[in-house]
Amino acid sequence: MPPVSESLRGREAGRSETPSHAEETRLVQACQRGDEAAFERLVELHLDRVFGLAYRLLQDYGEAEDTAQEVFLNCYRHMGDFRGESRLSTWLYRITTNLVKNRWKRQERRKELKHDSLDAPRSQEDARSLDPPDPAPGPRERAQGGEITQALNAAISSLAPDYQEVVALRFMENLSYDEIAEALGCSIGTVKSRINRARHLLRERIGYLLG
Amino acid sequence: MDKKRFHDLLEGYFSGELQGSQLEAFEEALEQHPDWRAELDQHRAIESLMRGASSPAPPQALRARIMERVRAERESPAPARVEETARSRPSLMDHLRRFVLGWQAPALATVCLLAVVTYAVLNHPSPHSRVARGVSDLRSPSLDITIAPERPPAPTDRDRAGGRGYGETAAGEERADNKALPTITIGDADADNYNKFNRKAGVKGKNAPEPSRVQAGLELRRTGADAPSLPSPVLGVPAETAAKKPDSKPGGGAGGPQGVAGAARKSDSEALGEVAVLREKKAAAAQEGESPVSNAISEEVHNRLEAVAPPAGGRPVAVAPPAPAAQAVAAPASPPAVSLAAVPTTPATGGDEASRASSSGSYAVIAGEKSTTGEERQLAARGMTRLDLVQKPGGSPEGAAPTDDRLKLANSLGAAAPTEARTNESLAYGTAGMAPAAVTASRPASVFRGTVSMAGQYEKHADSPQVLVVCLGPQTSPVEGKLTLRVDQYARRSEDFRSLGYIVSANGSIPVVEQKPREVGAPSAAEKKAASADEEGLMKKAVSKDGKVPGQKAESREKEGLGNKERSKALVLAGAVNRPAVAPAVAPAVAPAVAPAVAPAAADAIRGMAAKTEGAKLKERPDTSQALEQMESYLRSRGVRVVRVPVDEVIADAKWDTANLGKAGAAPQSGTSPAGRKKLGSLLCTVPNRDMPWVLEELRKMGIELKPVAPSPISEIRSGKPAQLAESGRKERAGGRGGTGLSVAPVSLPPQASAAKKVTAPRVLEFRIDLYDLP
Repeated sequence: MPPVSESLRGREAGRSETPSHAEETRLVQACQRGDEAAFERLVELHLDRVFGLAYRLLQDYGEAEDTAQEVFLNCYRHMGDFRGESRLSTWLYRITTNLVKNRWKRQERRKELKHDSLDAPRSQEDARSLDPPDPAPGPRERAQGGEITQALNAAISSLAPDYQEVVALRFMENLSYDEIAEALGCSIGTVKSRINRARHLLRERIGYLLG
Repeated sequence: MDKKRFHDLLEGYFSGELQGSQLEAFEEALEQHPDWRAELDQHRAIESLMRGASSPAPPQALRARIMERVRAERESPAPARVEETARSRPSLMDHLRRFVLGWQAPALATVCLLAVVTYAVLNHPSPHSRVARGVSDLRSPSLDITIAPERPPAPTDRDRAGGRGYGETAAGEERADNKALPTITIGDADADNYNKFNRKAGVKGKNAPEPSRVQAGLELRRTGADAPSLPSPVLGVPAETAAKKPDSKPGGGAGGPQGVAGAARKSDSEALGEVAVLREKKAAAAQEGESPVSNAISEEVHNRLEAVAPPAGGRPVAVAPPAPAAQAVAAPASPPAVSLAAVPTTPATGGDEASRASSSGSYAVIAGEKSTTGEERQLAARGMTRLDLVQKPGGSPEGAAPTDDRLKLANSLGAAAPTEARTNESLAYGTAGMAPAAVTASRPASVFRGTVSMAGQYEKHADSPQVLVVCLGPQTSPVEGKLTLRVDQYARRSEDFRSLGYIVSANGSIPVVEQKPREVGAPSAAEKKAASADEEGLMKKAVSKDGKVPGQKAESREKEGLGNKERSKALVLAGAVNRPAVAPAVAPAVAPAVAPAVAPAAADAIRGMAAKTEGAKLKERPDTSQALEQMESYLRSRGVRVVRVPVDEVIADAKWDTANLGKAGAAPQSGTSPAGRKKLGSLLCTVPNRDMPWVLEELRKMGIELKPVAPSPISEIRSGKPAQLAESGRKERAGGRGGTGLSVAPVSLPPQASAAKKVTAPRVLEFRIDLYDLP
């Protein structure tokens, strides 16, 4: 886990530059030929976005780290399947959202299977895990911003996964409707509808903070 | 523009897609509706917040770690995958290889195999086709065919008024149509007529065929010395004995249907001749334009008759009933080949010794299997065979007595075992007093620990809830462990098997079925519990007749500080310990009428339960609730329908007591309210008549006896007749006196009912359990 100050670099400060389409195509072709340096360059170009998206959706630094690693490994393994018909970033977003969905499903299953009994004897380590979460914001949350930011993050997290995806891709990754539709594998109309619905849900949940 | 339209256009407005008139209309709406504008501002603020939200940067080491993994994959066999995926498109060979190595090829092969098997099964000669072949043989002209008449009609009222029975005319002569050879052509309608006749003729007892055992269908019987008559559930039409009285026993043989209807004997050729006769009659009737068959022999019956199987090598012929034909074909072939000795089959109903002896070999089922009696055929239709159990010579390894009353009881009640169970040498089961039904059982390798589940039995045979389980497997030791019985209708009771039946192991011993094997002579778990309870003073076995425990007063017991819950447990425990091994199987004709005074067995426990309620006000206190809940749950678990009387009604009842009988403490004699006691709560209980015996038995074992007393004012208050009760209440309620904290009053019985006076048994027994405080 990096230090908070380091990990809290803003997206503008930390995010790498957007590669041009020509450069991206050249790098992809090089990767497909087995050029490891080209792939490293692609990782360098897209790691921030992929990690950022994973973090926004998962709200867990470690999980986001693992997901990002998995995304690029998948990308490397299936680079031959990429035909360059869309932007590589879109393809990476698609892989990311799919992996995040898988993790959500696993988390759901774990929640269903986990039945902790308060009466059952448990080890000290288990006992710690049963401690109720502290409602107060953690150090990172305190550093990230005020009440509104926390409320916004909480509101986004409370949205359905489909809405979380479009919100993250639209408002945080600044993708167009077309790109979002491509990344999520759905129609543009669906994307618009989800965004509109998510917008209203968010307003319902944190509108009171905005006056 | 309405709000919905505004919301629809909102996204377009934000994305800049609104153009021209739509944009103008939107902005105009914003000017007209300040709240909409405020909403838009909120949306903008949220969007800007989201766009400005920062996300943490990935760790510096992540990129290096990813590249490390990539290099590792490249060096390991995995890089081949990269090369593979880098190929443009998989070739045809790739597709073919994937198909062969993937799941499609095995799936296709499986489907083909299934198709072949299905085709083979469908084309396999079925029993039905054998019947068809039999029909063609039957039509062979070489057979000696004689003419049989149509079925005589059932006697009319006039016939019966003249004292004549089935097959007799009003003039006392034998019906002309009854003179011919016997024909057993019974369909449903005929069976109904026959039963109706028997009921009206007052034929009862074992000679009367049980309606439930009457099967629709056809059966041809053979006659002669080699095939004496036998009791059959399949009805016969009286033939040469038609002029006999209904209760005569033909041929010196069986009771049962023949005893009423006359013997039904015929040779194979005679029986087969009937078919031809019917066929001829049908043809003749068709020529005359009439109905091809008489009203006694319906077209359907006639058609069934045509499905007669041929006599195989001169063997007797039987025709399977139409509905369970497939099951009848699959009748069990042999008696149980198990270590339990199988004795000659004994019909459960009807028949004398001669008929029993002749029961074997008189009939043959269509598949040509071993002859069976009607009862056995019924069992066979369920895939079972009747068992009669005898003790294996030598007794059990534990040295159990070679005979046992329970074994006798099991035999007397009847037992049946599934055919499959025998063949699998796993577990046979039987029902005592029940018709056998599908039982699923599981058995591990050596010791049976499983669940026997039966469906649909209790309601049919409620009077005999015992179940007999016979282990026919290769067990060398008695059955160990707990065998749980789950009858669907019993689910509410969740009885352990030991409460309901017995287990007879293969070696003939009847082991004590316990949850854990215990040493011989060691007390059972229930006994240990009882002893433990005794030690705690909860239960005292040595109770004098007046309900007092010698050397211990009620006050001292109360000082022990035991809560009502414990006392209730003790109460239930008393019932469990004293529970009879066999629940009464026969419902009493007269409703029980015994004293409400609690028997001394658990008197102190009951007193203890109510002791804490002393001085309680007329409201349901927590301890009262607890006690009532305990009792309620216990009764419910025993299948008793319990309605808890609301506390306000209890109070009303107590007020009624006060108003009509004086102050609660001053009431000298009261059937429902023992003198000097305040009523704290009531449970209205309803038990079906069929359950009455064992419920009463349980209540007795708990130390509660029943005595008819005056109906509770609660029921009258509910029915809106309190005034009348007030007038007659004192007289009616002057009766016995309860001696303990609980009294049970059967509210459905008249107050004057007693054991000496005959009372019509109610359909259900309603009784009330009242909880009183102690003086």
